[in-house]
Amino acid sequence: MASKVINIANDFTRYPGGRFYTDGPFSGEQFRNEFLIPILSGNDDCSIIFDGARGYGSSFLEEAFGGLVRAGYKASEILLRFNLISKSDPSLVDEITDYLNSTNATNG
Amino acid sequence: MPPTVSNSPPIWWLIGQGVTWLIVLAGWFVVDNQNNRRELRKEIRTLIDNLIKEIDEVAVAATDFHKRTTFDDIGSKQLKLRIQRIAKNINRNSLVQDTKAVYYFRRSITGNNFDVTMFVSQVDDSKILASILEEKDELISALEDKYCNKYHKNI
Repeated sequence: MASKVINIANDFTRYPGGRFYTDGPFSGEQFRNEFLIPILSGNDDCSIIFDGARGYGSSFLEEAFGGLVRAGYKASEILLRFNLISKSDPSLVDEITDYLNSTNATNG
Repeated sequence: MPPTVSNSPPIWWLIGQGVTWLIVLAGWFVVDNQNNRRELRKEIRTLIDNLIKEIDEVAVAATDFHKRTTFDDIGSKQLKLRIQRIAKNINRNSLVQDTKAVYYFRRSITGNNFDVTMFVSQVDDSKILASILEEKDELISALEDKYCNKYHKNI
């Protein structure tokens, strides 16, 4: 299994936006559809680097990652396939993990 | 034939000198170590005081943001940046035991009503505003708890 790397600041944007496409450019929904789902649809695993961007909103994080669970992916598979890296702010990884697990629980 | 007189100091005198120097060195080491710890404690205290001030100010700015009649795009970007700066500072200096306090604070401000399409001006008794105040206090408590556990454990 190959391993890819997504550096959000370099590959997506340094200024992550809001929740939905309708909230403007670089939304969580856009990140999920253009970066995360294509990885999950293939066989690769992926490291996602959060460092370098100029601040994340929780709505962006929830929509990008919690939205994957709502789209039908299992939280356990997402956590297995994605290696979430945030050296400067590890609370981002805690937050995403919570969104994955709580959205999973909500969906039963 | 006269008795031989040795010029070398007696052994008990040498032992005494050695013990004296050992005590001097040990004393210097203890004082220096305590001094360094005291200075570090003062630096961390100043850092925490500045962080608490910034957290308070961010909470005020966030409350203003959510109470505005229209969505403030620049305000939202500034809040995200300021929260990230706080989070980095806390992480860099290991100032909390559990980083969840940081994320709960971020979520209380940027989790709901933080995007242009969903924005609704909040009234004084809204849950979002109450949550910001609550999580701000929790984060400040987390900072103080770690500081007290590390530097005032024996008091």
